[in-house]
Amino acid sequence: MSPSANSPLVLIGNPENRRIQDYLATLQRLGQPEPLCYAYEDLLAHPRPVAAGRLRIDSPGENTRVAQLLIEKGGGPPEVQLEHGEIAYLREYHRGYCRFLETITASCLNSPAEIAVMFDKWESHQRFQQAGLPRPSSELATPEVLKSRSGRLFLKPLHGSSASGVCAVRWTPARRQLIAPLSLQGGKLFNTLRVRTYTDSLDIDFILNQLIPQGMIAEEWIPKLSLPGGYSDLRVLVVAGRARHRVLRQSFSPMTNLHLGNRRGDPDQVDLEPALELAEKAAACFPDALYAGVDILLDSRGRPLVGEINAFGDLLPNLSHQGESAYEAIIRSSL
Amino acid sequence: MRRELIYMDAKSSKFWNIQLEGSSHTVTYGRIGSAGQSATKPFASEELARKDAEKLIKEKLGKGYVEAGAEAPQTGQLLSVAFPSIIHKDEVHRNAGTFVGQRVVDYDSAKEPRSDVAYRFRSDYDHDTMMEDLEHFASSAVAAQVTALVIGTWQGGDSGEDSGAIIAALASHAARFPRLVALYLGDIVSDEIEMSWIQQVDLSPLLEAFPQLQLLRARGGEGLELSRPCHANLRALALETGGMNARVVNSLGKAEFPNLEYLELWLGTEDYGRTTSVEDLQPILQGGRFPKLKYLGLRNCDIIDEIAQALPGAPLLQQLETLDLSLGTLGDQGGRALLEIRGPLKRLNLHHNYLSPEMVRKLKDMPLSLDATNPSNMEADEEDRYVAVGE
Repeated sequence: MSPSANSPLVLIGNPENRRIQDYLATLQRLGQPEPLCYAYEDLLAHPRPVAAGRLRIDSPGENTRVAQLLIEKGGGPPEVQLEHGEIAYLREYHRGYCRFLETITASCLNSPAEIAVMFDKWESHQRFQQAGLPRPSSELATPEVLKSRSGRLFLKPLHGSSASGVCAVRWTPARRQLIAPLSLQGGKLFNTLRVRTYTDSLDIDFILNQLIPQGMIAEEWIPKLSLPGGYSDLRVLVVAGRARHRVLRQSFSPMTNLHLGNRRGDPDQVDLEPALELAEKAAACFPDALYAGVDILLDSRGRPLVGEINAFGDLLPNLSHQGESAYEAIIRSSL
Repeated sequence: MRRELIYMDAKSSKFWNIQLEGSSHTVTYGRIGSAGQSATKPFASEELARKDAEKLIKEKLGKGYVEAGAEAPQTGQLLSVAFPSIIHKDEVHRNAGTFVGQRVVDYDSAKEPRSDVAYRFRSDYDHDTMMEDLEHFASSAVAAQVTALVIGTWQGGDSGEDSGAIIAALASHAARFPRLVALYLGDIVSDEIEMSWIQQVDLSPLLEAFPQLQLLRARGGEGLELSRPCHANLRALALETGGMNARVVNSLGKAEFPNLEYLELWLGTEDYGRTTSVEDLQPILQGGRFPKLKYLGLRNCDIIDEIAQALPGAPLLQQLETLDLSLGTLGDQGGRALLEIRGPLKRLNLHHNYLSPEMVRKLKDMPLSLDATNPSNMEADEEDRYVAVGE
């Protein structure tokens, strides 16, 4: 599967998305020939083999039409009308995407099989566990997930991307609390950029009843390291086995994802070496992937744990490492 | 001329000294306990050097530094500058980095204990060894030297357990800690447990077990009680809650704390258990209860506008040096009342407020040092006002 240096570069993505645009611009800046580009929308509507070459598969996200086609391919209804940000058909979307990935036979920077596993939190966690890497314990969530007397958990969609649908839940016999970047409108659940706290049991039940049937994992919620800029974790881009770009993500909510208005802090505030080493080990669980974004959690004493691995975790604009942007590092490593 | 200033908060404890010699001055600064670094600056004349030194001293005092010389610690006496912990909103989200001027370090039973840090004992998600660790430390020779202890989360991954067991353990080991003067029970940030979910109990057994205690700081209002509020040596009491039960404040209204200089109460919001009203505060505001009180903090409070109305006429204001109404929902209504304050008050802390710029300007004209800053991420909305620590 290893891409040969002479074969032409091929991209699959959503052409309107900045990921593709930035990647193309980077290729040009590095004097690389213009790659052949396939749009998900086109390939899903008119399935056909893509040209042979070194294929980079980018994110299918942030495109309503592509979502419709994937949901349909995954056994959902055709032309489903989802409102902006609406969280629904996560299973069908994921199944459709996996079916699409299975059709790809070209040699890839990140193999379709590895991408499919990275898009399944449960399977990814199994790999980390088998490799003996420290991470919070997790299990598949059932509707009985909050039945114990009291507790605290992260509930994460099995197949969600970024923080979409991720809930931090705490409960005691006296009360419950759910923190999530979610809003409720007209009996539907929407992904938002604002993290809200729900304390009303009706709201909490509604959210969980909507999400758990779509597939969730229940994960131990370990308190994060608290630093001057907020609760902190690390996003580490591992390229060709080496931990490269790293961001300290800081938030005053339990969700540190940067698109939620959180801040990038100075990674040198933390004990980086063990964290970077762990990120490399996590990425090594996916030998057929040239690169991956690894989330490294830091507990309240700063000890690192593996969070998630992200197939498309390379969108790290304005961040350089050893003079290279994330895309430059990936392109140079793939030549 | 030589001046020695110090600064302490939850994150740092720093010193800043200046020595004026002829036409130059030398500033030495650094973390307390370190040698620090020095810089000497020459001037064209003695006059210019003196003026620059005075300017620098004024700047430092404005930033919250205080004279170290004025309260050089006699043996075992805590500096009153060490009493405050959280000054600004963002610090609420940090575990203590320092406590009463000492660096906070998580206790590790595998290492030789030291006497120059404040150890923190907390239960971790992966191993709940807080009680064993405390036991281990109490049986070490260093325990007899230690002056400050920090207790972090005692609930591990769970959210239901109260502080009863750790209080009992501390009390039973009291004889092993003969020099303990400062205790922080509940160095717990929201990612661990929301403040209004922290389960406390009656703190009186602690006061009774440690008759030499000078500072008690506790976080969490659920279950909090102070059933027997008597202590001959207590100089500072801070109770941080998301909602203060009136029972606690009523107890304080009858308290026997003859040496209390510092009283910090986070009153919180009704949604999270505040039942304290202005009336409940009256016995304290009437004065006489705490003859040495110099600092009163009524913080993180959603009825602070209403409370402010009662302050200018309160007899207690005639003895206070610092009034701290920060982290709450203070608006112009409260600000207007504060303009009426007369007396010895030197400092007014209104950090995290909903005051208009005009009102801040008026307050700045008062003859005292004012902090009316706001956190950068504050949602300024006249209609919806939030305390700094709600949920």
